[in-house]
Amino acid sequence: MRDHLSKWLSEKKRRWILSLVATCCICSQQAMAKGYKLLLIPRDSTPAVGTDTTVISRNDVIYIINRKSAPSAFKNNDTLDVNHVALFPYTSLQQMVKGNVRGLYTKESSGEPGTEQFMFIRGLATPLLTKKDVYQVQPAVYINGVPLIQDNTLIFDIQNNDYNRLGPAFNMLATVNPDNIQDIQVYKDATAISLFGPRGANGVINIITKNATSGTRKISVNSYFGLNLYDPVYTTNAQYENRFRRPFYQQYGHAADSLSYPSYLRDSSNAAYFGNANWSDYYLSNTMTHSINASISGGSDRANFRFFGDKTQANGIADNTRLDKYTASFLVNMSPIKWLMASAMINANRLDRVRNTSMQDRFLETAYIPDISSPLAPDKSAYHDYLSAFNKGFDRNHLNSIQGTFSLIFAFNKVRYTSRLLYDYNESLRDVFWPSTLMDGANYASNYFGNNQRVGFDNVIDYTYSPSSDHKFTFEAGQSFQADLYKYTYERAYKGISDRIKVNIVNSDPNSGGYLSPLAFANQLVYRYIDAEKQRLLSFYGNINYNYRDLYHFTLTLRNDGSSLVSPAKRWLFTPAVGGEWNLKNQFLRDKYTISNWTLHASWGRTGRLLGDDRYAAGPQYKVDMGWTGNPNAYSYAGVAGLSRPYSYGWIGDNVAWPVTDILTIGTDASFYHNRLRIAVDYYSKDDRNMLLPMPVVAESGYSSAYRSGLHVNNHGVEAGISGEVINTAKFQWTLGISAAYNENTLKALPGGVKEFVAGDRRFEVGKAVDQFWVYENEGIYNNASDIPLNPKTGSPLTFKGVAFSAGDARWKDVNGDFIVNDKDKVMKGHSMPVYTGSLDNNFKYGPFNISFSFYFAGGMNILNQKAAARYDFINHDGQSNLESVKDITWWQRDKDQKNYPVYNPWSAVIPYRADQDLFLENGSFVKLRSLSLGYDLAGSKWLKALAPGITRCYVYATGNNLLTFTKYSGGDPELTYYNGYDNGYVIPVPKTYTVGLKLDL
Amino acid sequence: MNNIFRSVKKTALVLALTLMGVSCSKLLDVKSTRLVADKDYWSSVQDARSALIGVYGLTRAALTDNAAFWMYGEFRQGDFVATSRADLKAIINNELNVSFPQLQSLKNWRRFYAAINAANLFIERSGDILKKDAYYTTANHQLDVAQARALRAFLYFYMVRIWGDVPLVVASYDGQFPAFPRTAQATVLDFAEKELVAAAKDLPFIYSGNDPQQTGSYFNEGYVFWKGTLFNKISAYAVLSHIAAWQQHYTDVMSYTQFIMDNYSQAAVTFTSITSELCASDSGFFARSGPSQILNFSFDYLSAEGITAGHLEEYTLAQPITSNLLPAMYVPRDSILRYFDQPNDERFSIDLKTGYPLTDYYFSNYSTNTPVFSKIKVIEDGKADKGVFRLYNGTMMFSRMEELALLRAEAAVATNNPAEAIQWLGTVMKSRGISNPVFNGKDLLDEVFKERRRELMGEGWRWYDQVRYARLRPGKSALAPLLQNGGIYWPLAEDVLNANHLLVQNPYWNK
Repeated sequence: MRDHLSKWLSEKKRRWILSLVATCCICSQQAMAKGYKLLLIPRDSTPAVGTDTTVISRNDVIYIINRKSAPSAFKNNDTLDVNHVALFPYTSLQQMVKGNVRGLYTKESSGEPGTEQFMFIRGLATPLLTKKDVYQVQPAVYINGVPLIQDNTLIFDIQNNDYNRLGPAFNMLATVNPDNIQDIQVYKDATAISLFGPRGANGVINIITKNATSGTRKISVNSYFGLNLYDPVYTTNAQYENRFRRPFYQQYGHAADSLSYPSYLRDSSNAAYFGNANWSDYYLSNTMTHSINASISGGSDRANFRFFGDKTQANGIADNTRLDKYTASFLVNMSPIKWLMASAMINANRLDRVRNTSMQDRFLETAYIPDISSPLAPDKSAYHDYLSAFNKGFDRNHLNSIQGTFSLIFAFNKVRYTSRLLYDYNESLRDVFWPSTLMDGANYASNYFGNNQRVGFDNVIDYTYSPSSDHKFTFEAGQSFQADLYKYTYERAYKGISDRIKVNIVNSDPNSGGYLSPLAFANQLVYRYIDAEKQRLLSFYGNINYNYRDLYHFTLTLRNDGSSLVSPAKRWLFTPAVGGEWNLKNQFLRDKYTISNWTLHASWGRTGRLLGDDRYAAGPQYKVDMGWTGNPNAYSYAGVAGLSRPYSYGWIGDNVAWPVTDILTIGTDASFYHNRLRIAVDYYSKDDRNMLLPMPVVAESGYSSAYRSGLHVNNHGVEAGISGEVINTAKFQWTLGISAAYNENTLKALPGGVKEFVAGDRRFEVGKAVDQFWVYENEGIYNNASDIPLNPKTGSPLTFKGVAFSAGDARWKDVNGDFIVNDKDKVMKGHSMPVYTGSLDNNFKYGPFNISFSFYFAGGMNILNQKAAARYDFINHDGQSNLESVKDITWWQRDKDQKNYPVYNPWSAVIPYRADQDLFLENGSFVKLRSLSLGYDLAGSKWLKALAPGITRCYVYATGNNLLTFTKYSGGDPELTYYNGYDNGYVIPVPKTYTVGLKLDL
Repeated sequence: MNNIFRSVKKTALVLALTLMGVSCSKLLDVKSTRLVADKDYWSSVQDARSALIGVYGLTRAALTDNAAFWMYGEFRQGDFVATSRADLKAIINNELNVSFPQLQSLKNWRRFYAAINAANLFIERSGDILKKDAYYTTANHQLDVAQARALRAFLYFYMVRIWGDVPLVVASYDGQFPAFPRTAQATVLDFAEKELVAAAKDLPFIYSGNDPQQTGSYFNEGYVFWKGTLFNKISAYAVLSHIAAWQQHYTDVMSYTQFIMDNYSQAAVTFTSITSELCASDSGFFARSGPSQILNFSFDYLSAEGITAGHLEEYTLAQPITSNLLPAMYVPRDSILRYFDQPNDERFSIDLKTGYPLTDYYFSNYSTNTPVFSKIKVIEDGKADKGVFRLYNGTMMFSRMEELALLRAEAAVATNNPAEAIQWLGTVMKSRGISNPVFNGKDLLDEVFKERRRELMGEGWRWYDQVRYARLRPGKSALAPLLQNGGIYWPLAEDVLNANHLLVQNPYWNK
């Protein structure tokens, strides 16, 4: 192969190609595309309806589901270029769609493979008060019509904080494998969503897997091998930290303060802290990643099958993190009689995760923080000792997932009746044992078993009717029922009798008095949790499509949804959706050859939003709610279980109604010069209404809040894509594509007509965005006491909530001029979500050779650099025993572009380095060279044809991922932030990955 | 053929859809296993028990959230010093308007009102059970309501000590959330006193212990199960005594405490007259729930209610008792010497022969800069091998006999009865090894408060003692100015003020 390449490159074209690569990095993504396939807007194309050669009959299951690719009679979806995406070592759906779909923003907030990632389509439907809310704005993901069941938020009820979820915390969409996918479509408009129902209120990602094919057996093999490279870090030791702290002590410290100077910083002869800061030798490593999969399909027209198997391993570059994926997928279609078609699909996955060893994650799991007054030492051998302590324990994380469908399709002339049984089941397991050496003398064992299951039953009847060649109708009526069960059992045990007994063994003798009582752990130190929730959704819908001479398309959907999550009195919700498309080209411009296509479309519709918890349906209720800060799970008093009103959870009244989503979309698609230039522009306005919000109530009621309906958030914006075949000759093609999305969200109304609302460190005001930070405006420092303004009326100095400012304090703007700096002086600034997102793609193709690269950008959002705030606010973190004060090994490093902040008095009671000020608010916009690929299809070459004539594709390629980041953010990768835009600096960086791969079709 | 099929199919479809329509509502009625709906509650004796226990649990949650019991009562202007934490220093220095998270939570009275609301709801709704469950007897109901009323009164008294005037809400207003202004504290205390007197009539001395007012086993559990957990007559009188003392109604204190002194043995309450019994971590006073802990909110190891957050021990314990290097709060050595100035004091005194502390009951690691306050040190079951896992189990109780004896001594001084004062003061001091206390020529009230400082250290009394002392001896107390300007009360959290426009901030903190 190499010979061939070098020979090929030695030809005259070599220099020309290389110079072109260097100058404009021209690429082509469609190397493996068939000749007849047009180069479409690369990230935003319309589905290739009718060219799907894998469809064996218009009645098979995939085809039936695929009809939803054009559900509203016109094209209103974004399609992911799966063939291109499949080149890259993406292990999750989120990575695949990231930057590749207009208006879909993916937050890859950790480089640890297999961890949770979140997607946001068209902004935020609701303010994110807690992490639970993030789950409520996730789009629905369907695989071949199966709505994938995702993790529920039940577990957060027993957590002290929500940095991460208990259990294995898998990204359940890591089960999706790009090589097994035919199509990924993203639906954002009302007419499309109306066919999916309330699950799709946040948008729908519809995945269609590759189908079985008839005819001669087809085999494909795909494989890649890659290298993950880390960026060097600037490590520090105690000497650095001392130097960092010195100015504070010199300027503001008292003798008493030095008494409480941390002991690990005192003794400069302690080589572990003051010696080499080479912990990164064990922390970071360049790792490998690989994947291999194969599929086989074949059969006759009446019965055919496809089998797909995959093994993928992804490694993080830090902390020995790793994800292993195993997939087996089987699909079979049978048509025993002409009018009957039976299809079945089974999709099974196994995921194993090797997790990080950070203390933050560990103490979140243990819900117990040992003495953290001395951090890990930055010395390599000390860190090695720490790591080797893990060898005496284990932390096993597994996910088993299986989805399947069984469908029967009866077809009689123009009427079809489809009946489908679908199920999705996954179980996640985590077994942990950490020896006493890691836990300050008290070892820890825990077992988590969580399972989510969904069983569904769909019936659809559809009928096509064409009274004349001008008029074409399709009618569809359907019913669907889905029953979900979310469940977990979790047990944690502390301080077993020995590190050799790593499991919480219980007495197994049913006849003994101590049946099931723990043997190696004290019963009082074993905590057991169990929770489960059932949900049901029953829907009926009808849909009419009308097409008049390919000039006008109209669609109307009416549906009625009933959910067990809504109170019985308001259980059923009737929602309509209408849409239409007008083909201007066909109407007016038939003979204009420069314009190949021009359509206008508009749609409006309403969808119900599912409530996130079964509590809302129950009305006034009683719950176990006797816990307090740091101990949320107290359930008994004097050994007796107690119940009360849900004072901390919040009051829930009777008759909570459905929240709804109204989406208006207006757009146009046009193409010119034989489709060489394509433009698509959409305007949308999405109103999420009548949503629940925990509103503050008088504290004298005892309740922390009361859930009220009436939250209304509008998201509107423009999504545009333009792509063009800049050069399109038989041998050489250059395609350029730009897509961009603008989103603006506005809080339209709060429950009860309230105008503003404060929740923790966020404030929400009607008329403003819901993702804004709420901060004090920093204006420098009070160097001298004389700088502090005095209230002319009273003569007393400016105060911070009653505490007078003194020299060395931060100067915060007293916005309302009342000489008290308090919450009223905080301003709403910035956004935690991007306002602009988009990508720039270049594809260059020369014969069988191609290069592509893609830039991804997100702008207009800010990051609150909490890790810098915590570092400077060391006084308030040193003596604390909470997760925010845990110093992981990564604490011994500094950011490359670290900012310098004023030297305030860290002891001051005004907390000058508080995080909620714009001093730490930074621009989080970025541009990334996210992917680069170059490949060559050997299938056309003569020698391969001679060698192995059956090969239809033999594509060898190389990719680079996450290669460059341009950002003004001083804290490193701007994507590695928490859902609310806070960067707490605890996550593993995303590696630069280089792969070489082969795609072989026989 | 097709036609037949079509009609069969149509019929089947219509049938299926009709069936589904009929069973729709049923399909969607999923009963949650995670809560009890309102309509299903208040219907059985179990509901009465769980709701009443809920009131107790919420009261405990209010007192222990962010260690409120000790932050309010012990650390504010108290004898402890913070090692490094600025938020704790602010509490110690009475700089309560700073905005550290822990203080924000301590300024919020919501958890107290949660317990009050639960009590109100219990008083209003528990009667419904009488009609629905024959096992729930009127006597049982009467007793339960008395407990709810007593707890509510106790909570109001507690809040008045912290915030002064507080809104008096005596109905649940279930689901309504009306706003109330602050009620004058005299009115609130008056309410609390009346409620307690009324409740005390219905409360027994002892539960499941052949009390004439509570026969048989209470909720089918025996004496051992309930001892030291529920509100009884003695608890009610202990709270009454303190409500009176807080208002300087010392004659009432004398009569309330008289009732206690006459009747405490009926409740199996005893003095803890041996110092080792007070401090023993595995079997001592703080280790197990018992009748002598008057109005007790326990974290009993045996019922697996140990906690890792919100306890005194979290702040005071360190090596050699737990694995923490330094305690967050400690009493400096010179302070210890100043407070414990009595020879042979078993709690703490320097052995004149050796120059070392006589015992380590109250303080361990005395030789270091940060002695560890080890009077209350119940980790797990309190056995000596415990400590690596910081599960705090020391009990949190309102009062005990020594406290009440000293309160009676205080009242005796205030009501000009020095002989009685000396008797009770002497009783307590002698039980701590001070064999021959001398009070000649000393202000007896000072001696009572000095002894309270020693005996009750770590039990959440220091702040209230200082307030009462300042009221009795304004000339001698540094706190006296705060009495005048409202500085003895806590500021209200901004959340609380923002949610109720009728509330005003305590003017002292408006500066």
